[in-house]
Amino acid sequence: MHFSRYNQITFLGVAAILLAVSLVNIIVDPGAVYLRGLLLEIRNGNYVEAMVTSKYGVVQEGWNERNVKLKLAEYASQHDCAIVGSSHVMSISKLRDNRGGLSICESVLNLGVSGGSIEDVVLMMFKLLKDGAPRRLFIGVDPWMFGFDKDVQWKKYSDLYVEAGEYFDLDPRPINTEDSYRQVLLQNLINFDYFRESVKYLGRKGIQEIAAEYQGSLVVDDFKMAEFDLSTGATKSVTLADGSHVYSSGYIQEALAKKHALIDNGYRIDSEKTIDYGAVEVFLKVLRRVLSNGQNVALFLTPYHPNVFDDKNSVSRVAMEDIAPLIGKISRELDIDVFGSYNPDVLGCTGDEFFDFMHPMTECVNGVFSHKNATAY
Amino acid sequence: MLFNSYTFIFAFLPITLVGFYLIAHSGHPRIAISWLVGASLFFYCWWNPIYLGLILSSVLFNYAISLGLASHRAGHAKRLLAFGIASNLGLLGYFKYADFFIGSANSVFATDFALQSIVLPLAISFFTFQQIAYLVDSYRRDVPEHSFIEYCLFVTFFPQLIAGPIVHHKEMMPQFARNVVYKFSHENLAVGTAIFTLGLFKKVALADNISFFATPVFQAAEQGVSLTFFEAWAGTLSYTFQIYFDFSGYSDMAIGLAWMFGIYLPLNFNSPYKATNVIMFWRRWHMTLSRFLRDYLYIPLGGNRKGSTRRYGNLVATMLLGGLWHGAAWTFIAWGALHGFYLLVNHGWHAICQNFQPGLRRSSWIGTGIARGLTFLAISTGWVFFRAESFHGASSVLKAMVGLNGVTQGFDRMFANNLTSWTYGLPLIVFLLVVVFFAPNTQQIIYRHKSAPDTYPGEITSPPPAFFRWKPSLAMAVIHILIAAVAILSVQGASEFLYFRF
Repeated sequence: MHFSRYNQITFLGVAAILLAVSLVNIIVDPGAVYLRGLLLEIRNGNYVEAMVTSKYGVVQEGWNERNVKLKLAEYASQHDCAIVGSSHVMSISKLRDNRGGLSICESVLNLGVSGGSIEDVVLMMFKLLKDGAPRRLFIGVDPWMFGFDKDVQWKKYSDLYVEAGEYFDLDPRPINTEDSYRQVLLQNLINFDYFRESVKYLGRKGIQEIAAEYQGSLVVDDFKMAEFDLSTGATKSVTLADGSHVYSSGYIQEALAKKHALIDNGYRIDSEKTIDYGAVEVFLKVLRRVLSNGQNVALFLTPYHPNVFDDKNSVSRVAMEDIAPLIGKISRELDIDVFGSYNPDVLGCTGDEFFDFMHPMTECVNGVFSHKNATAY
Repeated sequence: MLFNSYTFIFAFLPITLVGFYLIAHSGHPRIAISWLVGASLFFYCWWNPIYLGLILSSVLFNYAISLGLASHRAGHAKRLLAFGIASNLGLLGYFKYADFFIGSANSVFATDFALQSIVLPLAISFFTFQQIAYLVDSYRRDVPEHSFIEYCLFVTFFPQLIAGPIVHHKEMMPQFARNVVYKFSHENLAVGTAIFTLGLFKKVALADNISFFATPVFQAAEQGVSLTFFEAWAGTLSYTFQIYFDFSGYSDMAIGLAWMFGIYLPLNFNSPYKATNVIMFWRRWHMTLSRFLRDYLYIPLGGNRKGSTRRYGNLVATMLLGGLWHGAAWTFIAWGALHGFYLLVNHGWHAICQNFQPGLRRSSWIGTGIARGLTFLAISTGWVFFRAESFHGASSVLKAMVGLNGVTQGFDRMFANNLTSWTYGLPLIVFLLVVVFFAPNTQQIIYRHKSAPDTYPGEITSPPPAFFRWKPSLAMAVIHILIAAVAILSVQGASEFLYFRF
């Protein structure tokens, strides 16, 4: 074979495969960020309506978490408390308050999102304040909170962020200094992990169900879960009526069997720069605006697994040591409460009450509400 | 900019390649060289434009010194050479080692000098060494006159700029004068993309995936977790493969990229884990670095010309400095010292064998297997120091590896810390073990198209079985397509849009 022919075949062949992968990712779209995502955005309201009216929640899989939580924020006025933050707070639920730690709230709207970072706090707080904020607001502060761009997904809401920036009087921050959301979407089209999840999603749902989604033939009740045991979970992960998360039974079983990593991986923490004072400034402005609105706001710290907290050299522990004094300072200056601690001992959480090295189980994390202004975070 | 990024693969490379051949085709080779220099500098400053000034200053300075060396008489030239080398080492020392020396001084003398937190400029170790070699050879009057733009391309040529191979002017400069370089060749493109694809696959599909099994083990060791015997070995073997596929993959990508431009870079890896002793390992691992250390450090120190004691001293000194070159930490120095020790033992063993059984050369396959296995174990153990962030972490892994934490804890306790998913990790380790011991390397695969200069002449001699020999055929094209597709799809790690992974 001549080299020119060989080159033609290989270049065209590679291009064809990449195109096919892109098409699968666009259509199946397990993260709901492409074509299916567009469709779901149209029907996001229906899904959230199904969620808030459900008795046992709705299947979470296949829906864009941030879209859902931003829409859910519109139901804020129906709740007494709301919490924003990362996956660390996502399982907090009045519906599952075994320890009575949540007695200070009649009900809690859970707006936590995976990888929730400073930009997500800005967006969620803006939506809450705009849509009638509950009496008490809690902000989950993770060790990566005081840094920008810890999760790219917020960039999808750049326009809303600009609006929020004006509302909170934030310094105009160039949103497109890093990869823009469109660039990230483009790169993600030929991402092997995303493709693998597309194939898995296709396998689980089947072509017919995905086609039904596209045809819009699913009705509100189709999203709702049948009765299941909240402590052992359902086959798939579920979002309850208050926005809280219930892990799938498989995930819970693996956690109980200690199959998840219990060693720190420095999740989202930049060990070279644990505090970006630009992000601290943003955080302070949000807090001040909330306080000036007359809302009661408090910071919320969730514990890390004892393996991580007890290791003073772990990346996460070092970051906690850095930001703990800052949290104390903010609390004193603005006269706001700090609930919980990064230290599991302070909260009485044992190593068995964690899904992995940084995600406490519901019983442990609900208990945080009983621990106000601990002397050590 | 990294070779394994979409920006590089889909934008920088095609634009640079097309631009180069369009300009060259229009009959302007010097402009084509300038285009490559410009593209290379753009490639470099994509990371941090601030250091563009640094590399340009370094290139200008060294070129000026080399001109001076060519025109001065011996006495002056020697001082000029010393000045040139000292300046280069001073620059490297400041950017790479200042904080290391300050930190070490603070530890030893209990002082409190502030660390400078200097950001290490990309590629400084590589372009510094290349230019020192050029200066030394200029002093030796071993360098023909070159234009400034050719010199610029020699130093900055983007395929080798960031992580080598460390090229020698004698193998690069003459190529820039070949007319054939400026004529587009489908063959060069095909071979170049084949090598690049293999390199990319090694990096993103093999090295990056095995890293998921190495990293947690070494992290856990740093955090004081008591590793089991099996965890320590699995983590160490994973890192042994990670560093090989990562580095050799990057070298392959560099060689493949240069090939697309009709320029042949020296080989950098020759199945190092197939080495049957540590001496051979260093003739197969990062070959251009070991060649540099041999020619510009070991031999000037006296090499093996001044008796065996001095020779062994030179060996250890070379390996210690080689270790320090890899990173500014005592663990790298320990790694270099360990390899120095290995080489002493190896040379000593050879001397004993020569005395007792002179002329014995043939070895059985069992002997070869044992030698290969022992060498592999020694090299793997050495990587523990290379990978660990501290001596505490290294000793923690080594303790577990020698069974001080217990060996037979029962099947269910073999991986008791649940550091990662060993269900996937162990088969991958076994697979890679088979690959490094039995599969042909990239250079053997493209054996038919061997044009790259030999770093150590004559060492890659054996062609692989016919199935592995790359040639332009439909079957090879299909394999090439599949490998390229998997590699490109794996370039970007886990997507953040997989929101269900918390």
